[in-house]
Amino acid sequence: MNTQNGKIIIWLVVLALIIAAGFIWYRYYFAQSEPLSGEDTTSAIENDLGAVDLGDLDSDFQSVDKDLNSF
Amino acid sequence: MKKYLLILGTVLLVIPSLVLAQTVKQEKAGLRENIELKKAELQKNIKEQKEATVKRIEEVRKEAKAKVEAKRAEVKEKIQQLKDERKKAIALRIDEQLNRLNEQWTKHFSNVLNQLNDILGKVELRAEKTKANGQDVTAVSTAVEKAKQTIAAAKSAVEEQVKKSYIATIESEDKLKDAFKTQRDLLHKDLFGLRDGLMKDARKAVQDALQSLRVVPEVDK
Repeated sequence: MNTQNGKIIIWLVVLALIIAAGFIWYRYYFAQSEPLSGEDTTSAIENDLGAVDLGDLDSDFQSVDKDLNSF
Repeated sequence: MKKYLLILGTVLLVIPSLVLAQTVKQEKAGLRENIELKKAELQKNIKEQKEATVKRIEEVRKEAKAKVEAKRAEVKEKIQQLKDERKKAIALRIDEQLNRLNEQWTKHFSNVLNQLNDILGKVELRAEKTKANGQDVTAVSTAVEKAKQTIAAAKSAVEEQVKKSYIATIESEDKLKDAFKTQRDLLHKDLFGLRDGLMKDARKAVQDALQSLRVVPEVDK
């Protein structure tokens, strides 16, 4: 009887964890994908714009150059 | 008589005040509703644009891949025929790297443009709120339109870049380095040109739109 109760508790905990993980994922995914989410004050928009990274192309070409030089 | 005049005067003063207060209240409610509608409309537009861009880029990529499939297979075949195993491995690696870089960076640029579009949406929304508070946002609207056009031009350029392929023309084993270097330089020129040209222009245009918003009085109220 005790073993069966223990199993049920474990299953319930696992189920609760799965639901919690699903909920967190859902909130995270939709917060990310929803346009215009978050603040729209000028300083918040400035921060958003500051976070836009056009990327470092040089570092990606370094490995190509390394291979080219080893011909 | 005086009493009647006093009552009449009070009524004449109170009634228009009540009507005015009610009108202002209704106008404010209307403006709030308008902002909510504008936000929903902007969200819908941005989402649709993002989905359409992703879909379009993937279609163009598929078409481009299919177009050069035979040429790529031919080059791979030529590389496989090389006698020097070390050179063969390097050639295969560079061939793969060049095309992966184009794919990776065009995806990145496309994501950046979507991000800029989102940010511009926030500028538009803030401008709408500021307008509802009675401020003049004509300059912001002009800057937003300009930014939209710049983003659209950058999107087209990214699409053109997706269509490109970088396949070395292998004539002989001793000219392998030159053959791959030509393609490497071409890709380098194209990606740097895109990033430092239209991509930076797009970011600058959004920055300008934001700047035009920042100078509007009481913008963050």
